[in-house]
Amino acid sequence: MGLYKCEAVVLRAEPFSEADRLAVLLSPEIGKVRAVARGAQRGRGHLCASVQPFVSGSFVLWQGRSLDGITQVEVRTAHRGLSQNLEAMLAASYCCDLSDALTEERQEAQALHGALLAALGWIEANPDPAALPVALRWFELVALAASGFGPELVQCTACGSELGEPAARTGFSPQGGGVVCGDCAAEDEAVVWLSRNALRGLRYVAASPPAALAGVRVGPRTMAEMRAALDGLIGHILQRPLKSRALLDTLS
Amino acid sequence: MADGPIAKLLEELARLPGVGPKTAQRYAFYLLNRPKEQAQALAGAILQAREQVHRCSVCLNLTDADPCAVCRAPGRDHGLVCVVEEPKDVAAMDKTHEYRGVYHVLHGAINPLRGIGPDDLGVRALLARLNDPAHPVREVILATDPDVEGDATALYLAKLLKPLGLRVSRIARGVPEGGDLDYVDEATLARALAGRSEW
Repeated sequence: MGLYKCEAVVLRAEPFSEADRLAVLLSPEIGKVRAVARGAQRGRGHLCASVQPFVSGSFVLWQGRSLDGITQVEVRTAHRGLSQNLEAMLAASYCCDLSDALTEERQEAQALHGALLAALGWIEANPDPAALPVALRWFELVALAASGFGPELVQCTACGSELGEPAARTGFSPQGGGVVCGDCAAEDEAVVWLSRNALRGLRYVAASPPAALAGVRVGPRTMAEMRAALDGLIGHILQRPLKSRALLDTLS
Repeated sequence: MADGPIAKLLEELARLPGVGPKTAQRYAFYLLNRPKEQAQALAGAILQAREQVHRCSVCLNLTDADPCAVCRAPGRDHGLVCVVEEPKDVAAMDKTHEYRGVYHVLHGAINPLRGIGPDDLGVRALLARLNDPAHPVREVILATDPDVEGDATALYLAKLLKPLGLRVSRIARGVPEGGDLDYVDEATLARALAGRSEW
């Protein structure tokens, strides 16, 4: 039974048995790991408070046959501010859910881990509901790119032609994984239309670090178009809706 | 290897929470070695409870009478409602002998990752109860679990209830009674510091 240590964020934690809790961790080096925290569900011991969604820290695990086990956690940040605001908590839950859905177990996830930590910190620091959509679009774009599904926003994904400056209306193909030129859009039945501002917005958000986006606000119409394009792409990749997303939309 | 009725008994016992194959085997052979009347009494008690126990129409707690004993009790403060996640939380709160108000059981908590929202919980019944002029409520205590799901539920309820002009409070969290600070985890200690009170 080998012990190993890794940095990780808790993506989800749920009861495993009367006394134990099953956690899904995202580690930069190891990727997604499912591990049991013995006794955490009973409410005793330090694992009870440490093995909770959004907690980031240094984990000591033992290697099991089917599931690993958590023995120690040194909490770096628990993102406690998220529990003060419902919208922020739902947005953070969506980020964790999306990270879980986009990753396979035991595959290195340096970029996604970094993006998730940045998104959780951003949402915790700016829980204003008006700021959350930009944070979520940024995380979706970065998480997709980190998982190898980043949308193509410059070249037509069907014929490869350069689109350059955004036109008044540009097609976005969820199946194609990015923008399409006018001719190719006519042949794609599932195309989502983006206005000039929406495509500019997606390109800007995709290329900017969180610090540059903190004060950025996008109009509701433009945001709805950006969201529709990314929702279509995520839906096409996952082939299932994310439960956390439905609740975020309902309660926000 | 058991088969037939014994296998069926083992299978059913192993479905119970906290009962693994070994414990199921121990229970099964214990029951089979006891007089037949004892097994019949157990089976009868399970069936009777299953048939007679239902949710209280006021607080949604499990009861064999409607309204339940707590909701009927004249000595309780009906203006004080403590909202909990599960029926077992009512028993835990009552064991303190400190609380003399009434309860409301949600039968779960908002869980974004599992898609459990307010419509899946007893939130509508809570609102109906709070809007009942016959039983005015002045304070709602949110005693959901101190975890992400419990906090999400408490935040949602606070948002919903504060506009009704009620006092909405959340149970405190912090270090356990008789505990040693050295053994308390960082998160709990930080919460305890944030919620410190004048001494």
